[in-house]
Amino acid sequence: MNKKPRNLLLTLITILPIFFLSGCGDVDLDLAAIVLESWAEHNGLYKNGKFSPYPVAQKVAEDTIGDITNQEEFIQLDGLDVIRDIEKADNLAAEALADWDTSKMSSAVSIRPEDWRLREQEGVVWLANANGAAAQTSFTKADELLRESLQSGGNCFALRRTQLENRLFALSDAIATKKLENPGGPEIEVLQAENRRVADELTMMSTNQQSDFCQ
Amino acid sequence: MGVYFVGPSLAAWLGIFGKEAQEVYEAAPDLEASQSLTNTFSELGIPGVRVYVIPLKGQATQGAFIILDGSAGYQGLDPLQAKDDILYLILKDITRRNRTENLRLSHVTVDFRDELGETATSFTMDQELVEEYADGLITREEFFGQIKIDLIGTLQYIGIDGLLEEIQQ
Repeated sequence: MNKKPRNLLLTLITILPIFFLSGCGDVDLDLAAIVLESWAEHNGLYKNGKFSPYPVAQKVAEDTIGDITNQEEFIQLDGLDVIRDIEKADNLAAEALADWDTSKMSSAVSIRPEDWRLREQEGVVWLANANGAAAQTSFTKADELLRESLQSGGNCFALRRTQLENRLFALSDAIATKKLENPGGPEIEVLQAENRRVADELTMMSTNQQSDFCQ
Repeated sequence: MGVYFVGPSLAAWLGIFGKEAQEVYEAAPDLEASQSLTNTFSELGIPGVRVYVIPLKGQATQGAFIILDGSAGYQGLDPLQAKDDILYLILKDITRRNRTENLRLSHVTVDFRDELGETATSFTMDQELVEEYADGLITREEFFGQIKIDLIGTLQYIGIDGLLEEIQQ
């Protein structure tokens, strides 16, 4: 190891205990500190209040390889980037629903194309733009994706009900807003038609305690 | 040196190293399971926490992602609570919900975000390990020894980005 990395490791040894013991910024990261310190100690990286440089370097090297070879635990950690994508897509979808903006909704869907929730919201945005055909395409895609996700397990009846309840909520909200924004507009009729259809299916599900969707 | 940087990208492109996280977690979150685990924190009086439970592609299990978000009001744990106890209570409740509600969890991954929403550190653990600890089958030390911390991401957050580059040379 040349001199430069060794200097950096000395910096690391100085900084990490401060991070562990005092937390970061204004937020109290006490749980993080406990976990990190205990983990480092157990793995031989931290002894007698000091960091051991070579185990740290070795761990970094191992992690670099583990990450690029997609070892299971690194996929799990990389899953946190997927969570960032979900949050970004959900925020865009919320803005699209507020403005009935199909372009913004498409951007949200393009981030997470296999997420049935976004296809549901896309359908409502299309209905709010009086485009029933495009809305139907979105709802059909949402159904397909939900069915696919159920192939690995899960309660079909409960998930279908959640899907329809969410759609009904979004439709009711859209109808109320549209009535204020554009009373008598053509989109109100298509929104109401879908609203009635979804409400009927939910009623049938409650009555029969089963769903055709799950057959 | 070129092989070191280009090799992994090429291998990933060729699919040699298996699926990327984007593909594994491509499905929509399980809304009911996500809400249930979010309730674990709200019922313990810990604000600023969101939980996403996401099905793993091609598997019958799901991953739980816990976001402890300083930019959304997370202020650490209740100082009146014993620190060790609160973590144990959280894991015990997750275990209980996993069993009684059939959440099919395979792992729990935790993201600590600072007041700007930036990830300070993160770690992941198999659900099996969580349950062994929650059931009192292993000690706290054994539990912490087997979790996986994002060491590189943590070092980057602390601000010594050059470390990795230097070590790799």
